[in-house]
Amino acid sequence: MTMRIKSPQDVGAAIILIALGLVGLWFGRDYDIGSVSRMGPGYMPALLSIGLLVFGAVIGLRAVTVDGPPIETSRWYPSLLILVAVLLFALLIDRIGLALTTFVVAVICAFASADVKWRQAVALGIALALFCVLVFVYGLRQPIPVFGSG
Amino acid sequence: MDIIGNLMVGFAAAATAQNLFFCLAGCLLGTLIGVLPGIGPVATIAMLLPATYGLAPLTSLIMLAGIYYGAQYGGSTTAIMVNMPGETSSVVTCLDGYQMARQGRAGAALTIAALGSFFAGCVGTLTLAAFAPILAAFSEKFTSVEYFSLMVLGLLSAVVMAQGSLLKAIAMIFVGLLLGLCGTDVNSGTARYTFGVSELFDGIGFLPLVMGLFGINEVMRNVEKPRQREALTSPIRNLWLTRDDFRSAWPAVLRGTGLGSLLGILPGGGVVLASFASYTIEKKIARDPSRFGRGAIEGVAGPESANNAAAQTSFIPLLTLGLPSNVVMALMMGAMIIQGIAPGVAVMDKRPDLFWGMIASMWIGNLMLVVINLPLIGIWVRLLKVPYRLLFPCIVVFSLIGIYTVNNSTTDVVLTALFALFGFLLVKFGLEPAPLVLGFILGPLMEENLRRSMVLSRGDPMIFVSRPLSLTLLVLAAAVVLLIALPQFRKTRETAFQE
Repeated sequence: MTMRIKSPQDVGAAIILIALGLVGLWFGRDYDIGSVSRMGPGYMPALLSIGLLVFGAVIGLRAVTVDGPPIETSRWYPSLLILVAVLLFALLIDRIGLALTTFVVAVICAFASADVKWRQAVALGIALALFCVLVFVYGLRQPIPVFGSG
Repeated sequence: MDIIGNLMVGFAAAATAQNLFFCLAGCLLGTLIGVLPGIGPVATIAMLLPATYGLAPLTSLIMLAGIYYGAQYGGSTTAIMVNMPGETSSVVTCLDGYQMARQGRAGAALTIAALGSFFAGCVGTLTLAAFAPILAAFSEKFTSVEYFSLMVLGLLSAVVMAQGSLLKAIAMIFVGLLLGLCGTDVNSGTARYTFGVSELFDGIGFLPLVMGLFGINEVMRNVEKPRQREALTSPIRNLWLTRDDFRSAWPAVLRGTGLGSLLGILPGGGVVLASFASYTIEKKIARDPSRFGRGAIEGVAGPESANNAAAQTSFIPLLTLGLPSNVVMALMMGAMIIQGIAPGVAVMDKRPDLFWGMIASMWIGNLMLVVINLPLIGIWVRLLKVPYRLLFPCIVVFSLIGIYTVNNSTTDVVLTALFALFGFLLVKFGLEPAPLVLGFILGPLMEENLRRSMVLSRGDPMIFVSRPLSLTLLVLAAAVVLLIALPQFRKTRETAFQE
């Protein structure tokens, strides 16, 4: 008997749930379970992790028996660019200050649009950097360095 | 009357210059973000949460309430002007609101949405003030056993009313509960799932979680598809309602308000259900149902009133029982916990100024929305014309600065990125992030109440069914789940969401 995937979304869902259940069990393996009347810190995590495994298994079974919608795959790189921008913010803000970080993040985000123009992106970056420095550092007096690591 | 005395206390606490200022700021910011297409109230609140962080508790809750109403009103504006619902509850507004706009009656649609919402908001606030003490008195009989059963009921009914697969929604609650347990266990001091990261010892931050799952995730999903935005059909000529408009709209406003106030109280009910139900009723009782979908003003007036009334009354379970009935209420509860307030009957007893102040501020927020938004409507509409590619870099930058400045911690920003990615995958696989947040908020409380119940019963789970009150709650929970298993109900639910 060959198994055919009928609902790709459910396969993904099952993988996520089972992975979370396994992570929960593995990293929770040292927590004291205790007993029903005296629950230890490991009781609920174990219970929930096992629950996740069960849900994952049921949804996984459903994926090969019941038809379901496909996974929407369109252009994924714009979303990835946004994610990169967020991580860059975390990496840069303490090192090069608010002005340059804002500029970099804004320009990268702008390139997540299909119809972006270089000039517009750079102009937006400069304007946003100015605005954020004025509002957050001088207006709201947040302790963020404008340039450098403060 | 007691209510009046209580409300006076509330208004005295809420109507300080500082509070009014932040209420205004909240309304404006909420509308500003909420009006952007593709950004619903949940994402709006998530993005603006950091702005309320540094304020005094009452002020921050007042600002938050302002943001919420602003976001909702902004969503209706987008629905009417560009036929793009920011959230499920304004899907209904699109149906007739956008048609009205195409016929050059956008002004009338926006006005009736604002006036209807304001009226509904007033009634909802009064309902809240009247019912909260009753429910609070009821909840004083609750022990940990009843609280646990209540949370089971709350979580299950919240997912039944939501869209999509019930199984997946319950699975997401479990994920949320598990995430909610991260951090130091209060009873034993064991650090759970902290991976040695000191920022995680107090648990996963609520702000990075919701900012990632809703804020950034929403932007990621928006840039994924190049959007073709429908052009605005016509400029708004005037905001006045004609006599005919008024005559056909006000009964719908009354019905919507009543329906919304009622449905909002139910756990899991809330805004979406209220607006769908109102639209269905208006269509059913109309003399000429074929007008609906072609710009019937009742189709805007009813649902808009219903969703605002429900938005008010859905605070009742939260403020009296500490039970968030939908994801917006979960965000509110998260914000309260950040402020050191555990929502529930204790707040009403110990901090009446806070409790009644917040209720009073809801009314003030509603009033401000009408006073501010109708004159400013031109600005909001102009904002809709700004290209999206220029808007969302701004949103991302502001959100990130917001999340960073809360603790001056880059760990929070990294967590935000992780949750954004996680949320992105969840949505791809048809898993909703909303039940996760409900579970996350209730996770520690459920664990604590389960533990205490089991200590009480010496490990006998039968305690949950041997107490009449707890049994009733659990039977209700079972009924809610059975309800959805009925083919009849399932069919109605599917068609309701498709319309």
